[in-house]
Amino acid sequence: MPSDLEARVRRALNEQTELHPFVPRDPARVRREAKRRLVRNGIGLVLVVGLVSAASTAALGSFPAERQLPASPAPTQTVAAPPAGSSTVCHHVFAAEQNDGTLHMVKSAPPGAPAGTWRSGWRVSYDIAKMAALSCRVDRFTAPAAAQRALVAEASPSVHATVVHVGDGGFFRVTGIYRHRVSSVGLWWRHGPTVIGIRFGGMPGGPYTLAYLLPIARQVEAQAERELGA
Amino acid sequence: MQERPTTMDDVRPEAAAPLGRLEELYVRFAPGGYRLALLLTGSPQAAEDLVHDAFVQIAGRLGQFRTGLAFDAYLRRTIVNLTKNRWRRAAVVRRHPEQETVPPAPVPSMEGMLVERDQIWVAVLSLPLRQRTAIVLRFYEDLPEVEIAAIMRCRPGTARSLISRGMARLREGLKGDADA
Repeated sequence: MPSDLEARVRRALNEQTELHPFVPRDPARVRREAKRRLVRNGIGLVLVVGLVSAASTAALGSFPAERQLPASPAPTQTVAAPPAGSSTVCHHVFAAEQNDGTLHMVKSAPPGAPAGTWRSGWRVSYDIAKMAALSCRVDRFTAPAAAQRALVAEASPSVHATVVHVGDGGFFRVTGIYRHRVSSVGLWWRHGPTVIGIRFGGMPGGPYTLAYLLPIARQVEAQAERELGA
Repeated sequence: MQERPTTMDDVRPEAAAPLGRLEELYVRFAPGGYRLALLLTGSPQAAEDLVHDAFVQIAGRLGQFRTGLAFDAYLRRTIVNLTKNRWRRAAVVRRHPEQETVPPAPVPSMEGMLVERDQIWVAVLSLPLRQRTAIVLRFYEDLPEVEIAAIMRCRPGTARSLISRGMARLREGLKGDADA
């Protein structure tokens, strides 16, 4: 049951609102101001996004030169084992910039692989516009140093590529992207229990940001799983 | 208390362009918003400005009301928030009087007439903003504590406590006036 004071407060509040009736303003004016505010907010948002992106670009320019390599993640999946006597089996990964600005990566079938074990090759096109030409060869059963030499030998002169480790395993898996400098990008594939890391340097047309390269890396991974896991 | 529409179920956004719909909503909901703002600020001019600002602010969020969310609840919350912001700005201005002129303090209507309602109104205006907001939402808008808590972004227990402390303060203030 409401107290006497509550009733008095209610009455006083209601009387106050009656003493000062509402004089509506022009609703069109409200609409106009609302429109102006929306436009102003939109412009403000664009400016903020622009400033943030400019600041991040500037920050990337002063990125430290080297970082520790990413740790090798645990194996996530196994695929068909390499065919017996596969010590000579090679995987060839080629990537070359085409005239249309796309990067084509081609993985050939290992020579001498039994039919049905590997597909005869897969070809994926990636829209990595202006990315430098790259051609590398990865031999699963070659010592890292030798693989590195082979890789560098086959790489375009404008590209520095390094195979960090090559070992036995199942399929390629992109485990991360490592950016040393603005114009230097590393892609890391999981190759069975080991990780292959290839660092690309000296690429013109940088920077290649993580947000730009990560979807590409995911595509590589998915394609590799589809092709090699089949 | 005057009747006013509570929801905008019949004012669907599909019916008109959002900003065109804003005019319609203004005509419909602004009087109720004004009365709430008036009781929170104590100043008719400030209340008009607050309602205007609230509608301008809500214009960008009209799409949120597709689900039938009560428009007036959102308007109330916006007005309460704007009042709070205005209160804070006024507090800063009071601390730095050389920067700006202090807005005139709200004066009760019919000054000099010490009728009971003015005593109560002055007492309400002297309450801290949060207590006053809770009192107005409870005894003018007739909202339950849960809704008051939602508007003030606090727990229902806090809303209940604000109302209780506000009423106690009113009681003491009115008693003091009577003794004097």
